[in-house]
Amino acid sequence: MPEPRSDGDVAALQAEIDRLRTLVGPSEQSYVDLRVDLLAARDAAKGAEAGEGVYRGRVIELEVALARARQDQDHFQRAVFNTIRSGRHRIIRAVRSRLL
Amino acid sequence: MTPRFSVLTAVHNPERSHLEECLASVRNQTLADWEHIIIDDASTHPWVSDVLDRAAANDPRVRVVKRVENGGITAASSDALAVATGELIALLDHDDVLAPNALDAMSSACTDLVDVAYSDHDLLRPDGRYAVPSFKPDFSPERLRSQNYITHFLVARRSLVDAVGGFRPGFDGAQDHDLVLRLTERARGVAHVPIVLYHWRQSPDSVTTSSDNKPWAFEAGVRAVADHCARVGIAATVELTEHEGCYRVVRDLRSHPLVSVIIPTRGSAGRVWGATRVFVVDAIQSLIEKSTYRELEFVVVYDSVTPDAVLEALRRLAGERLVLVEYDRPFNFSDKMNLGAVHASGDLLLMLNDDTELIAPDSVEVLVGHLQTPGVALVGSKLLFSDGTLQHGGHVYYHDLRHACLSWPGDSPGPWPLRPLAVERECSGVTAAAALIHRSAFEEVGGFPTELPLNFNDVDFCLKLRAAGHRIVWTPWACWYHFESRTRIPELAPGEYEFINERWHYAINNDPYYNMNLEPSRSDWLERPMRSGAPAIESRPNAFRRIGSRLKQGGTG
Repeated sequence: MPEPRSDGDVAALQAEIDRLRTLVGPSEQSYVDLRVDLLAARDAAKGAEAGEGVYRGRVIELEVALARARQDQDHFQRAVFNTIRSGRHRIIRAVRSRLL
Repeated sequence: MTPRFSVLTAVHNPERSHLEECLASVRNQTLADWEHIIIDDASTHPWVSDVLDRAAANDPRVRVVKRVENGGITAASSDALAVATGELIALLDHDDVLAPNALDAMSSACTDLVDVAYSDHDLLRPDGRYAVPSFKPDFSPERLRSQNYITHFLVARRSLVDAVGGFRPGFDGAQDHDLVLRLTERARGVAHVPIVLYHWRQSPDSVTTSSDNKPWAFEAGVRAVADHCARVGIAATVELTEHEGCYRVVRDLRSHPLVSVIIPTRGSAGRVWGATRVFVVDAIQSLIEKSTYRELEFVVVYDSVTPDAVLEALRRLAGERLVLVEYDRPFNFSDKMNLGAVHASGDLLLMLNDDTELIAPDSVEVLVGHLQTPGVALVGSKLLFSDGTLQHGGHVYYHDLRHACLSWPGDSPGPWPLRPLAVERECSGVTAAAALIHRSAFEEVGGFPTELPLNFNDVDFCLKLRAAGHRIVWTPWACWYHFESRTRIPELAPGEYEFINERWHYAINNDPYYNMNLEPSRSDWLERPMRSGAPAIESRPNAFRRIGSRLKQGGTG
């Protein structure tokens, strides 16, 4: 069985209630509203961050695709260069053999 | 004399040039010890018979069998198998092409203890160029349940093909997946040859182009995986996923053992999504509120500096399920985890960072389900940053220690064509930020290394597990947020890297679940230079060579 509180305890608790009511304002609904506002704000922040994440992730994917494209481009350039070089030699040899 | 290889090809109305390329690719093998069994599955194009007859007439190693009625790929392949005499069976589709050294390389791979071997492959585009190489992992049974990553080029010992019953009817479109599942169930060894030995022709109605053409192939795949699960004793339901050709194996839980969630913490708070949260409290709250698995115990290993209010909040939240363990020594993640394991009551230990929040409610069930499979000791989860991008998709140890596809979109299947983020698969390691392990395995390897207080402790832990013969699986179906800073630069304690490098030098440079054709020090499956398909450009006609040749002819003629 709980011990009976003293008048002093009751007065202190009543004072604390009054202090909190002052903070909240005339409507206790404000507590709930504040909580709802907080959750809504958090969800909005989460949504915004997720939206940012979609783009960030896409950038990472594109960076990989770009790296692959650069590798292919580099390879293509080497292939073309080698083709031209070997072709040039062949042409020179063929022209020489005709002239000599 | 019996040939080493029997190459089986079922033919039904291919394009003439494709069939001729296919036949030529076998004829031009550097290894001569083969026979090519070709089944004409009642082709209606009259030239098919002519082409095949000519091939058989020109080379005695080519044997042609003609079916009177079209029976489909499975019946035709079975007919081919019936007349094959080789020690090793190789499968080749009628429009695909083998690399010249394909049989030679496979012959080397098929040692005495290897019954099945497969190679990497790429696609042969309509313009004749090679593209989209599949650089595959070494044998990964969990992954094979989630997708047929092996496909081509597949070679199996004849005796094993016979033992598993050969090709089965009823799985057309996924008959290769069904076969490879049955083969690998009973193979003594499965070898992977990391060379592109097979060029898979990409035709408009091929499965390689779009699943819209053959949805029934993936439905047959579901049945093949379900049958496999039944054979190997996995009680599960198999589902198609949103990613074509990828399946989800939803395991039935035989029991609901107590899972001890071990969380090391300092009781710190931080701002996430614009609001302040006390990490450990919110991590546990998310498990209590969202998880559908109820048999949880929370072992919180807290530093002495942890505020009393945090501990009180934990007591209110978890009640009798909470075990508080004070840690009064200098910070050492490994030591805290080991201490937590000592105080845990469950046979399963869920290692969880305090800066996490559960996303998928059935995550714990998914993890527990995997630990029912013999040989699997540790299962890791998919972790997302607060912006939804990927924080953890399994570890990759390939000339660096990395998280797979770090910062990729959280819903991405991962790089094509293998899509590692869409499937459950074996990994070299997983992060201990959210992973479930058997207590027995934890104790077997001595827990985490206290020599590594900050970094690489999970790497060492995972490599010890694998060295002890256990498998480690990563699953995308168990999912948490991990509020680790994206920009965090790991602060290395003195000697940490030297320790891991000295102990595991080979293992951290050679990841069997990655591929040597991929770029080192990355974890996004980017091919090494000149291995992304571009080399095929060299096989195109050389204009300069032709010009030079003509000039030369003119000069000498």
